[in-house]
Amino acid sequence: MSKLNAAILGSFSAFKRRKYLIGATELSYADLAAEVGALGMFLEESDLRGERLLLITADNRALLTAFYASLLKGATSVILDPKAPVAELSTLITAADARGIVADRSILDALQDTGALKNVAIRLPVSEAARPAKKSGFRIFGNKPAGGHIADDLTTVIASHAKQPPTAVDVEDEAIAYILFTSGTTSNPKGVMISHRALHAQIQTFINNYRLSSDTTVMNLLPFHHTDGLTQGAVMCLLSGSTFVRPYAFTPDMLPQMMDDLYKHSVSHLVTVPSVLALTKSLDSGYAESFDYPEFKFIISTAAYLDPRLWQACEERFGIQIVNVYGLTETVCETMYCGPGAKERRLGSVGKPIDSLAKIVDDNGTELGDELDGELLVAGDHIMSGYFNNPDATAEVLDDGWFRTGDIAKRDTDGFYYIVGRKKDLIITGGMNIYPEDVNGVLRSIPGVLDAVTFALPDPMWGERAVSCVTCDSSVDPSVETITSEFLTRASRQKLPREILKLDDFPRGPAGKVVMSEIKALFIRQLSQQEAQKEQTADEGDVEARIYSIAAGILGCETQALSNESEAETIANWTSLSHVEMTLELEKAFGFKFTPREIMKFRRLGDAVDIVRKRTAA
Amino acid sequence: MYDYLLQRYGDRAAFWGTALWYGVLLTLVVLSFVAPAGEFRYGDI
Amino acid sequence: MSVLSLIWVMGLILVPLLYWVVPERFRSPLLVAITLAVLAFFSPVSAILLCCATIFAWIAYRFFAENGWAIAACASVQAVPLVYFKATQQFQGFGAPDLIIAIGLSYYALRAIHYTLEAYKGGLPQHGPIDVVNYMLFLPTLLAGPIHRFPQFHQDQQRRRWNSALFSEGLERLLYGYFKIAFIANVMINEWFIGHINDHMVEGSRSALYLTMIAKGLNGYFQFAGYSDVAIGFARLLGFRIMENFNWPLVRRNVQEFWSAWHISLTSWCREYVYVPVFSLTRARWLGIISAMMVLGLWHEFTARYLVWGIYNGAGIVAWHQWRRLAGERIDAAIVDNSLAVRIWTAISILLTMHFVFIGFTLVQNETLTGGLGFLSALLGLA
Repeated sequence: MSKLNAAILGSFSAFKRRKYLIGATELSYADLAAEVGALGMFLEESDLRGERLLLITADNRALLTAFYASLLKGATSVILDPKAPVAELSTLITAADARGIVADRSILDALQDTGALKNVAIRLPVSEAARPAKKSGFRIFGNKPAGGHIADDLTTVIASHAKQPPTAVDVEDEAIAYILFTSGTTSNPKGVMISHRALHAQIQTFINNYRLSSDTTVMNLLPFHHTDGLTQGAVMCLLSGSTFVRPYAFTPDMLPQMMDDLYKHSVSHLVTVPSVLALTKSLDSGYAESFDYPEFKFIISTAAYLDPRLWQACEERFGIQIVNVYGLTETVCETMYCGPGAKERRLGSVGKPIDSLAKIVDDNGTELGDELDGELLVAGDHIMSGYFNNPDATAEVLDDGWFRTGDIAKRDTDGFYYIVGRKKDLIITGGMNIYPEDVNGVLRSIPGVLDAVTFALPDPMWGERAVSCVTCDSSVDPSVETITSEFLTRASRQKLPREILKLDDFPRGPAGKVVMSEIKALFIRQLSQQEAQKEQTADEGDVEARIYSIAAGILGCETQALSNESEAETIANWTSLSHVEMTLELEKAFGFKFTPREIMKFRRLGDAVDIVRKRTAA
Repeated sequence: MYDYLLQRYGDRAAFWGTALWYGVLLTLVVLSFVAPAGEFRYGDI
Repeated sequence: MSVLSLIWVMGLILVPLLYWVVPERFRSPLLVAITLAVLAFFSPVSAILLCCATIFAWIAYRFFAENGWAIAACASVQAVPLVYFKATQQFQGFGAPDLIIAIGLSYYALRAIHYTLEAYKGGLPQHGPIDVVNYMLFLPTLLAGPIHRFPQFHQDQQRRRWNSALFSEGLERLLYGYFKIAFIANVMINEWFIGHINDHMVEGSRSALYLTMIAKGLNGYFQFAGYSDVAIGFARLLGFRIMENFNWPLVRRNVQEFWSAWHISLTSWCREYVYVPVFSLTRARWLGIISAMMVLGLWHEFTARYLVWGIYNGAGIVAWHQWRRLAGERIDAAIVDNSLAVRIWTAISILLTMHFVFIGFTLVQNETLTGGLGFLSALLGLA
């Protein structure tokens, strides 16, 4: 039996009474074990061992049940984004060459006509309505899909099998546990194959380094079709006996609720991405104490570059520690950790490799010394087995146990690593990986679009944002709106470029190759022109600076001590009197009178900045 | 109270010190209830 | 229904017990039901008024939040019962069951106005009507405040879980609260201190009058701070961190500081909802201060003595601002390097502030303004 499966069975018997998943309802390890056991029986009967099983559902409970059952029974899970458009899903389903599928009923229905499921013999719909009713919800449905496939849904399958403790078949450590696709919409999808061995090694590192146990509680709202949600969430909780809190998927408007739920569920570890940390800036001072309870340990920031300023600002504001980690889908999840121990911490760094090796090499593959930039290579038990059905792509990145990350990094003399750039063509926006070629492929498939170039621009909120330039057929000439809406029928929203610019032609070099540096410069020029047109008041920063200096004068502090979040509770001298003085001074400085409502709304310095901008713009 | 004593004098002192402190206050409160006591009047602010 | 009564003490034990035993989703409804039952038993009128205020607050938030005039009208409607009961003197905070007294009206009317105005300002988090009901019908703060605010309350409600540390803090606060009321105020000040004055001093002598003023001032503080402690402690037993009401007000260096530390939930209310709007309409700071303090005075009772008392304190704050500008800042700067001088100056400031405030209290400690003025002139040797 694989070490991973032994550990899963061990957890199921050791932590029966602990809460496992706090989602829409609270689920214990025992509940999960029973469902995994029942579904496992079904998978064994269906002879899915060694086959691939597609998991495409928004139902966390169904997904995890199916995921663990397939691990124990030696099947390989292929987890896809349930929100992805049908076109994208069918490409990936075809590429995955699976024999079974567990998917939301609506997704199965939508896929029915595409032919993608032709070879997928076993289909288990997840019926949203049937889920809560455990036994009574025995559903019979008539709409049998053509081809005489199994016609039960997940709930009935689980209900019709005896609730017995899960068992494992004899699976080898090198068997593939799951496949996650890192690029999708084009003809060359890359499915990262993670073995039982790799997953087990990664989870052990998590447990040791984050000090997880049956006394810890992890909140992770990242999606399951992303390794950060799956392995650095559900799986590491299962193997450590931690409680896993995931009441909803993250959306920006859920942020206040998320902050409140930390305390409510006594969360000890919050796994999140830098853009969520950036969003916390918008919260008022009532949330500053959100982490102020003894159970809380630290935040784990993953999936994207964490700006040192944001890092420090968050740690100071909330009085907590952020552990910055680095890794890729190909390394299961993480490979370097900056913290939690004080010795392993250095602001701005991704820390040091744990349970893995790292080296930095130049273009010839020669290892470089400290403080020199080069490509980062990593090795260890947690490296993927390869890309599914794609030996060429695998050979490009795997070499004698070393994995080429495609990231440019350097190491300081104390052994801390810093990511300084990227070699391969990849855009990371809000923790999501976007491959420019994918986006270009989608854009080119839109009628009227001749060619497309996609690249990254730095973004304060998302780290990077993808932007595209397109050339169009003058006879069709689709508008940017048309391109956008066409795009969304073909690929998921997260791949949609934030800006699309139409050009007559791309700047090209002698060989006809697009010159990226020129196209970027062109784009930025166009963008700034547009913005200049939009806002007559060009000196945005200037308004802020003037307001800060007025406030600093009245409050008797340095302008550096002020931010848009400054308010009476955070600034010592901010009394009702100084508040009023600020109002009067600002009126004098900018030459307009605040309305009563504006005065009442002016609570934080940022409010004043907003008000002044709005008024001076009008 | 407990945290304050804990920081300065350690575990044991904190426990007994707090117990004593609460004990004295509680006794005085109970005695006050038993003894005839004045009444709070709203008009006194 | 005094917090010293046996039934209230029993409630302090039973309500949290029941509250934590029932499943999470029943906790808020349970508390609302108990609040309503208590109110309906002691004063059905109060229960009806409170329900109306709650419904009306929600309507303002839901339908009129964008309309300044409508919001002003809604806030005014919320103030009508308060003004009526204050003006007709049928108000009583504690006492025997009575059908027409309005229990807690002074506090929940201000909560409703706060909620209504915050709806206009956009200061409320996302919430539903049930959240407003939970906020308005919150048993611990029903009788004597604090006038806690919706955003913090809502956040605590979202975060609610059993927390033994918070619970033990609550128990500690209850003990401190009862100690302040029962022992310090009732026994030490009222029995011993005032008893001593009555038994051993010449009635009506200036020293007796002076000590009476001090005793009554201290009594007022310890009584009210104790009641606030009981409310805050009770709320903590239920998992809510209610705003503080007092922050060492008697050791403050000036009137402005005193009024930022005394009955904080009320003074900050007046600052946000009287001072700021008046200022923003008129741009006259002094007018804002005087209006805020007038409202603060009249909130206690709709009488001449409280009006005068409010203006007295408002004038004190305005005068202090003038003083600070003319001399105070210079004195502070001059002695800043001499720690002894700073200490003496601070002590003088504290004593002056305390006396200013206590003299103000004498205006309202007598049944009528004339009575208060009589006491004051006797104290100052003018009579």
